[in-house]
Order: sequence, then structure tokens, then C-alpha cells
Amino acid sequence: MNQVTEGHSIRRYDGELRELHYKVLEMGTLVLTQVKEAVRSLKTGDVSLAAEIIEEDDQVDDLEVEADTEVVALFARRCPKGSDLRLVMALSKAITDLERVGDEAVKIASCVERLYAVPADYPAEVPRNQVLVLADLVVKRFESALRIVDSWEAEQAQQFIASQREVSERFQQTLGGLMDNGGSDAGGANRAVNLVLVLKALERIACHAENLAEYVIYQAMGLVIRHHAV
Amino acid sequence: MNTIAESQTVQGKESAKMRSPEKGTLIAAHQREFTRTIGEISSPNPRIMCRDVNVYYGEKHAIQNVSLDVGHNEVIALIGPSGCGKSTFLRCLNRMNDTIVGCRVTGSIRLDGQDIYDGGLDVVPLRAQVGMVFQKPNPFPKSIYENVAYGPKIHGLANSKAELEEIVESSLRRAGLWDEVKDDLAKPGTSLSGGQQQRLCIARTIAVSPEVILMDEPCSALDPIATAKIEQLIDELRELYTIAIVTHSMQQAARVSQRTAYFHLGRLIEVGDTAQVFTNPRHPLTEDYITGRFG
Repeated sequence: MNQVTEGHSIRRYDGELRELHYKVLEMGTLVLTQVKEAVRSLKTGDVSLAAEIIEEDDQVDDLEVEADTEVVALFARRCPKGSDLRLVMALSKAITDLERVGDEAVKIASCVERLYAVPADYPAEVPRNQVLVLADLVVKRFESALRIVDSWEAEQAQQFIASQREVSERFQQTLGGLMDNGGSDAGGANRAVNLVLVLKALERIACHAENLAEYVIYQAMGLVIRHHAV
Repeated sequence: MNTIAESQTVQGKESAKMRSPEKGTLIAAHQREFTRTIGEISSPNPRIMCRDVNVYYGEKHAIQNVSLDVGHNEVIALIGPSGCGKSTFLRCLNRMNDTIVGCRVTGSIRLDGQDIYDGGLDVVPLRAQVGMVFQKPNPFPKSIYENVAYGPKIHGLANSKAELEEIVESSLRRAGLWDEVKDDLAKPGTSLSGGQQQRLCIARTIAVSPEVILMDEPCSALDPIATAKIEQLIDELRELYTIAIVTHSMQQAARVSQRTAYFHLGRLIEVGDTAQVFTNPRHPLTEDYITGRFG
């Protein structure tokens, strides 16, 4: 844990900021598990696992509400300023991003349910593996983004953002590969659409991970870099 | 093959690149600036210009090389821990420190271009031009009417009783007190509530047609409702006057001022737009103070 929450004359304030930070990390860990499980369900074609992911999304939603409540209480009680204000704002925005990552995991799980509904329409190995390669990359990046939010290391956040372009390029390549391997029959169209939707969800997760790194930079430097090109 | 998903992604990134600098460039520029500045001391439209102001109480060097402009129709908040020199600096602006034995002021303070420490300058009209409101309301032991009328009378600002009454009414109106006291003008000023007394003191200050109003913790003795009324009044008075306010309440500084100056151990550490100072202070000392890490 970085010292961004520490050192106030009122020590309880340290504790409240730390608690909010922990809550966001707890939410991040839960969402990371969701994403990993969603990718595993695609890898194994495990429809029951996909159903579990969809069902457990309520836990993420509950954590989001709890964390938002803590944010409101912090504003009401402490009127944070300077780096504290930026920290609370960064964590508040991170909460929203994490909830949306959870939603993307649910979307992937829903696609898995559709992809593996009928044995005859199961996705072919080659396009599915292309998506899984990108999925592994996205999971690693999301994990890294959570570590950066844990440590509040602005330098790592900068490096993370600098490497985002590579992910975008990989996404484009994978998308092109999927189009080349799409089927022309009705089942093939279903497979292609669902795999593209999975890919799109993965791309969104990578974007949310980048957002998390941007919030760390905002907290550390007061610098808003979102909406600027990588 | 191109899909909707693909084209949205590519177009989104391309258009962002075309309209914005790269993130790395922004970060590098920020880091260069971070080591350079503690804010803009000058104002494009200055009413008060202070340069290299030093204040000594005997051997004690209370204010060290402070340079700061205060603009027309601007509220500037002076903040900092106790003993940092913010009130001492405020009192330099109408030469109130002259009354303190052993106090010496060097440097230059100009009001509309006029050096207020010029040896030939009469401080009495200066203190009418630069009025002051103190922490504790201090109405004269006279009627409400006389509290406001006293200044215009001694400065010869009214040629007739009717003119004086007009000044009293307009001053009380601008101080937001008229409706509350118009039927009780003969009552003692000290019979009013704390918040009303402070607004009476503001009316008294306004009555002599100042250009600048100095406020030294004007709400520290008031409840939140009386404080809100004074803060509303400050906002209205800004249209006519330049206001410098010393406050220990950072919330108040954030609410009422356009610029904020942070003092520490007699030095002006940082000055900037109030929103910038409270969201992204540049100096670590300012950061520690406003976040409550000042030990």
C-alpha cells in the first residue's frame, strides 16, 4: 500500500481513505476473478460456469453501491482537498470502471452460453484460440492495472498507458483473423458474431484498465490525460 | 473486412490523435512545470501591487519578500497556519502595522499606482480607502445609525443631513442589514446579534466609500447562518470593491475567493486560482496544509 492515504493530523481520515482504497481493491479482485472465469468458460465451453458468472454479478453491484456510499460519506465529512480530493475522485471513477468490467465479463459469459448452446454450432478451434490469445493478454493487463491502483505508482501507470497501443493493434489483428475465419452458414454467422462480441468485450476491458492507470496519474499529478491519444 | 466494432475503434483512436497531443507529451510538460512555479503573483488588472514586502517586529522578520497583486473586483483569500504572517501582511495594506511599536515595513505597496508608504501620505484617508473588518465585531458604543454615519461625518462625505441619511441607508442596504434594522436605527449597535454586528461593521466600512476592504477572519465568531450571510455579502461587494480576506476556514476560502495565497513562516509559498490551489496545489507545503497533513 502506497502512502497516499497517510499522514493526516486527523488519523481517522487516513483510515477512511484506506478503507475506500481497500474496498476498490476488493471490488477489483472480485471483477478480475469474474473476467478470468469468463475466459475459462470460453476456453472449456463450460456453460454452467458461464451461468454462475452471470449470477454472481450482483456481488460486484453490491460492492459498487457500498463503495459509492463511502465516497459520498467522505465528501460530506471530510471535504477532501488537493491530493485527497484527487484520490477520492480517482477511486470513485475506478469504481464505475470496475463495475463495467464486471458487466463485460457477464457479456463474455452470455456469449459463451450462446456459443455452446448447440453442439453442432460450437466455435471452431482456430478462431476461438485467436480470441483466447487476446483474452490472456487482456487478463494480464487488467491484473497489472489493479496492481498499479494498489501501489499508486504513477511511473508504472505511464508505462502501462504507453503500451496500450500494442493492445489496440493486437485487437485489430485478431478481429481481422476472425473475419477471415468466419463461416457462411447460419451457425457460422452465430459463431462469428458471438466471438466478435467477446472480442469487443475484451477490448472494453483493456480500455477500462487503461482508465484505471489514467486515474493513478490524475491522482499523482493532477493531470487529466483521458481522451488523448496513446 | 471491416466491421462496425473495428471502424469505431480505429476512427475513435485516429480522431483522438488528430485533435490532442499524446499522453506522454502531456505528462512530460506537466513534470517540467511541476518543478518551476509556485503561481502567478501578478494580476492583469491590479488595484494593489506589493513588491518585496518585508515586515520586522523588532528583530523578528515576520514577512519575507512577499510580492503579490490584488486585482480589481477580486476576492483574494490569504490562508496559512497560525503565525504564518497572513494577518501581518493584510495589515500592511492599510498601514495598520504603523500603530505597532517596533514594527518596520520595507518594500513597495501601491494602491492604484500610489505608494501607500510614501512619507507624505496621510494614513487617515488611506484607511477610508482601504477599510478593514476584524475577527470580532467591534461596533462603536453608539446607535446603529451613528455607527454608520460616523465615518462619512468625519471624512466630510455628506453635505447635509439628508445626504448623510442616504449614505447610512445605502450602506446598510449593501451590507444586507437595512430590512432588519430600519425601524431600530436609534438602538445601540451592540444590541444586535453577532452576525448583525459584523454586517454593521461592514456597513460602517462601506459608508466611507472604500476601494478595498480587508477582512481578518470576519466569520470566525459567527454561526453557519450568519457566516453564510457574510459570504453572500462578500460575493455581492466584489462587484464594487477589491477584497482581501484572511481566513482559517479553507472551505470559506474556497467558497468566497477567486485567488488564494498560501503563507508559511512569513513567506508567500503559492498563489493561484482558488480552484487550482484546492484541487492541485503545486507546492508540497500548500498540499500538506490544505489536506490537513500540516504537523
